Amino acid sequence: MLLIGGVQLVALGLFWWGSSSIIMRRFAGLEQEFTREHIRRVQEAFESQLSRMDTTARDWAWWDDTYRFVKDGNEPYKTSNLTDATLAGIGVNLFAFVDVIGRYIYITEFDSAASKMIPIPADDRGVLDQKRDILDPQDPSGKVKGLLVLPDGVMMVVARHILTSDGEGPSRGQLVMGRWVGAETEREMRLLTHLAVKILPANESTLRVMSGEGDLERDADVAVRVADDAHMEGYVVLHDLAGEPALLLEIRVPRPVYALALQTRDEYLLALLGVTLVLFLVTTGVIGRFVIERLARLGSDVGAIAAAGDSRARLNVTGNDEISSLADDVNQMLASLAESESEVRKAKEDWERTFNAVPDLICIINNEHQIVRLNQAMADRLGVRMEAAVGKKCHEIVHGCDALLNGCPHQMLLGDKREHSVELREVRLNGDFHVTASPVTNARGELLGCVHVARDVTAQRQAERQIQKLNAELEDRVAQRTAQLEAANKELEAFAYSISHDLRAPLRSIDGFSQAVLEDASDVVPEEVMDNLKRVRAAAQRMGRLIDGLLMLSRLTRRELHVEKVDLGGLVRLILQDYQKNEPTRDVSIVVQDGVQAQGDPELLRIVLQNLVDNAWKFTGRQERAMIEFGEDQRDGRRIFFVRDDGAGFDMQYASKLFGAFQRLHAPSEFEGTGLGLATVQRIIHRHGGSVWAEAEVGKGATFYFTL
Amino acid sequence: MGRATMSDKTKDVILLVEDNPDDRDLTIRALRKNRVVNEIVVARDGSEALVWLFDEKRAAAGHASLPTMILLDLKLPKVNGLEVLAAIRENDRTRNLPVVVLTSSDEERDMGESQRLGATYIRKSVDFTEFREVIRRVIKEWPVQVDEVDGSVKK
Repeated sequence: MLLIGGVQLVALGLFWWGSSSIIMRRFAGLEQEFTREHIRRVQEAFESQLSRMDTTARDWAWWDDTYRFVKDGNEPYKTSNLTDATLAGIGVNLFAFVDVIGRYIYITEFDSAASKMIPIPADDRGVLDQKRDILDPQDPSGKVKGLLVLPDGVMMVVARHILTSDGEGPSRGQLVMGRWVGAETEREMRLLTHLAVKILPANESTLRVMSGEGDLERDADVAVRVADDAHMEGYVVLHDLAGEPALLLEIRVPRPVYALALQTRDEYLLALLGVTLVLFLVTTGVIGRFVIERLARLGSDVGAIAAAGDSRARLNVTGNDEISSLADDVNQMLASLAESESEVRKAKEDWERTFNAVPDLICIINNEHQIVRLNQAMADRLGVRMEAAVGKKCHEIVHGCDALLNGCPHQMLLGDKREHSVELREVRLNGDFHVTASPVTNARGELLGCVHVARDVTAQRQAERQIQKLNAELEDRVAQRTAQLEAANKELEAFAYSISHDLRAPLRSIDGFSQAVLEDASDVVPEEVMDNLKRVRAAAQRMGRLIDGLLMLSRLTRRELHVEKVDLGGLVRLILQDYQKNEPTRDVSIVVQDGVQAQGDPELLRIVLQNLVDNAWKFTGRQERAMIEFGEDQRDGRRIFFVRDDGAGFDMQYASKLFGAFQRLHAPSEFEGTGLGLATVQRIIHRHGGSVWAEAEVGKGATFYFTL
Repeated sequence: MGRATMSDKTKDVILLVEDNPDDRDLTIRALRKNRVVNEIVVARDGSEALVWLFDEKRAAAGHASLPTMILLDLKLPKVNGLEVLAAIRENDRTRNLPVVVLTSSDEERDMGESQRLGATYIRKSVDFTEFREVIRRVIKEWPVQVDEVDGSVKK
């Protein structure tokens, strides 16, 4: 409201200033013109006075009586014409006749106040003599008319040649008339012009106004200026016959136009003020009624809602304009405020519930190490109420000491504003804690404090210590067992070495010397003894094979595995080729799947396949035709390899005994063998992490499966 | 030092290092059966073998000749066969002698070490017939004296 008023006032001021300066400048120009016009009128009045005197002078000069008088100087002319009354009648102060050679034949001054002629003062007469030339109108019908500065004052003078009444010559001299310029002149001028005219002598002090400054408007001899609000002043310089400044006329003219202008302006301003006021009142009234009041109500309603903090409250909406839509907007804002408030409240509740549900001990600490907030777990562990802990220094309430703890992660964080973690044992709480201090900063990155999370790792640490202890014990035991095992292995090795040397040596003797007897004494020893010796040899050789089998079995437990890619199918083919070469008469059809490869120790796998193929070959030996098959299959997602034959097979109830050492399901007389082959196979497969099993039926054949 | 056959005049001696008398006799039998006629000197353990090969007195007595071949058992009293083999290979004079290791062992360790030291490795089979066959194949490779004409056996 104030603003509206202020704007209107400023506009008014600008308007006043603008109109004043424009109007007043225009009026000032007009006034000058008027004043100059008045000056011209005064000049004309002055001129007309001179002209009137000239007319009188011509009447006198062009008169036969005067014509005669100048020639003869007759007394009657003087007495009848040159009298005080006459001179008073024509109103002159100087009356003179000059003859043709320039002498004053008659000259008198007339004192207007006393109405009588007086002799002319000598100094005036002197000047008149000097200025004779000026007063001579050269042309007979011509005239001299102007001002003359005399020691006693300034005089309007006219001069005419003296001619006959018909105005004919020759000229007998000149008539000179003069009149003092003074108070009388002023009065006449005022009467003529109705102006306040003042006539001043033109001297240094009076002429100063002509060179004045300020608002003076002037050209050569005329100057105009504003005297005051009511008057203009005008000046004009009048020159004498010699062209020198003689008089200064000053006029004062009233300024009716100016006053009118002022009045006009003021009335105009007043009217404007009035209109403005009315407009202001109307505007404020309307705005107040329809806008301000409602806005104020809206504002106070919003304020009340804000003060109550009740975001569920709503504003009354009336009407259908911008303000009611504003109220609508405020209501919408309140609605979304209420929504987000409830979300915030829910989030806060969720957060607090979570905060208190976390089993870790959590607190928020300010930069002065005071606890700002802590969770239930921490309060419980410290055995304090939450409210009691808030504001306490953390080292006091947690560690029970006055000073900061050495290696306090919060202290480190205060130094570098980074997260720090330490693990410490707190005797008071009888536990190990993993403590993390994470910085809390505001939007400007200034540190406000830290989130201090202590995780109870007591159980963990105890378990770890227990595990370490157990591990150490276990390692001890393992080392012990390993040493025992190594010792046992060494023994076994030595044992095996000894067997291979010491057990086989007698067998060699038995076999060798039996053979020697067979060779050397064949002709003296009976046939039956020779047969017996052959049996001795066979038994010794069989014993040798058993020993070799046992040695191999024992070596398998000690041998390191050299795992690489092995072409199992290729191996099977090579082995079977040997058998076919050795027994070319047998009719065995061989089916080997192509490209069966596996990762394993090639030498050991060769032994496996050798044994399995050997069995298959052996147990199909009684048939005219046989079939041996090798391949791979999938079972339960694992690759399985198999060697299948259609030979003698076996009863599945003995399957469990199949892989034991020296276990035989057939009599040696039926199928020869050491009883170590499948034991060796199982040992090797087990060392590869696989398994081996068999499926068979008596008379229908057997299939040996293995995985790796 | 036992000698199956003593004859200093026979230069080409085969040195047999073997502690077991049965094995010694059977080996000699296998050689003779294969008609090897060289003199066969037997050392009963490793140290005897080393003395026979490197003894200075023996060398001074003019018995400095080297065997044409050495048959070496590994499991020997005092100094074992691999040690004897290493000593042979370390000495400039004996470095290039042909050595055949004859042993009961089929330990990879023994086999590998023997081959590394440049010896032929033969496992003594229980079956004498098989052993004789192996010996036959070995002596074909070495400059031993074989009686081509007479099949009789020298004792």
